[in-house]
Amino acid sequence: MASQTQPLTAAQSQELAQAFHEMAVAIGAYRLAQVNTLTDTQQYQLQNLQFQCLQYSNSFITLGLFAQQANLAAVLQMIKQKTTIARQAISAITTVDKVLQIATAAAVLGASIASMNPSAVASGMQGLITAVTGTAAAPSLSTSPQPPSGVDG
Amino acid sequence: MGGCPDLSQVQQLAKTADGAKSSITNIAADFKGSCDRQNLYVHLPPGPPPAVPPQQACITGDDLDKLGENLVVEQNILMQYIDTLGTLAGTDASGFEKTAPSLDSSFKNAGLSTNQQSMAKSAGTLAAQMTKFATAGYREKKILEILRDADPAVTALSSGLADQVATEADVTPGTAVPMAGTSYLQLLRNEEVVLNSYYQIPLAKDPNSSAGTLLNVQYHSALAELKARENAAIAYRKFMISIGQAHAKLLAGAQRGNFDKASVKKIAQDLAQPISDMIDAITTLQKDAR
Repeated sequence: MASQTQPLTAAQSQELAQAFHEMAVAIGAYRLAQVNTLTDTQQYQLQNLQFQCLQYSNSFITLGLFAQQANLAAVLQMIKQKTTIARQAISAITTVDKVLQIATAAAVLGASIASMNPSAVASGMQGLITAVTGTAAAPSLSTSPQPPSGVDG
Repeated sequence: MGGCPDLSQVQQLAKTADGAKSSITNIAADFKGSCDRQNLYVHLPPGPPPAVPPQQACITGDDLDKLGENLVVEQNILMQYIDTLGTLAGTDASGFEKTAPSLDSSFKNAGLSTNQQSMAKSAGTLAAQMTKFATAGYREKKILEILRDADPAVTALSSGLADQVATEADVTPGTAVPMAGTSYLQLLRNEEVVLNSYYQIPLAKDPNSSAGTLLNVQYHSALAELKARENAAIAYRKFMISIGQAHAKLLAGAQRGNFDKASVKKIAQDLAQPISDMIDAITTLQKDAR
């Protein structure tokens, strides 16, 4: 019968990491307590064993962190979704604002056309362009009458 | 459903979180940093190189690097959410309001009579007010919906981020807190084991020599740096937990209908301390790292 390997949970990884950490601490304490009896070679061998335990502990910490991050995937998706909804709401509000500005500028232009005042029409046009583009219009809409072409001043 | 959120408080939460954003990436970068430092503290026996090469204490540096990068991404999703919520709370039809004062001269320039000007201006002002109320109501409704729907996820993410850096069991050892998983702080505790053995054993052999004195200074300096990193990790945990709690309080206040000013002040106070602690801890850490 084939058996399937189950990945470790974050909590299981933590227990194993802690067990190897404690073993490394115990080896360190022994190395220190026996500092005057152990030879350099023995110290080196024990150091290697101590580091091996720490290596396992660090590897289980790494595995546990991967498991924790995997567990957060659904939560991250949910928060991203809510951020998008908030952005859409911001966009809806700023659109309302923009539409109002354009509509107001259009109303002013309409009134100026009704007044038959060329200067007011030009200024109303400028206002509408500014509202639509968000910037001032190019100075092509001069309010002063242009001299007919071919006429020298 | 009922009630409405205090928009200024939502903006305040966003502003506060934003202040701490730049500080928190330092911890994520140190996931691999701790692994690399653990491999530096190795003693070799005197004489020719040993037949068995020295064991490395940490071999998952690349994975830890990736985990640190992921942490930053996860963290940014939370911060972006709070930031967007703050922007939404502060977004209104203010552009229209700003243009309202210039309506007078616009209508005048358009050649309208004084009476017509006055009527047109009143209509414009009324439209601005109605829009302002409409957009404020829309914002409040949207924010309440978002706060309510996202609250379980915000709590899960803020505690998930906190746990990756330091679990509750790491911060309060000896208590009956269930094991939540592994953390950066546990890497630092392994680093402490390597550090202690590296310095304590030669110091125990030769405590009074000038080399021993120098080694002792280096040992205490390394321990102080490690302690600063641990403090930064604990401060990060507290900050993340506070973010989750502040979000839940905002929602609770909004659902009650009328926002309790005292609880608003309490949220600000609750958040101010962990942020200040975290920024202090990380500033110390950066100073030590120089």
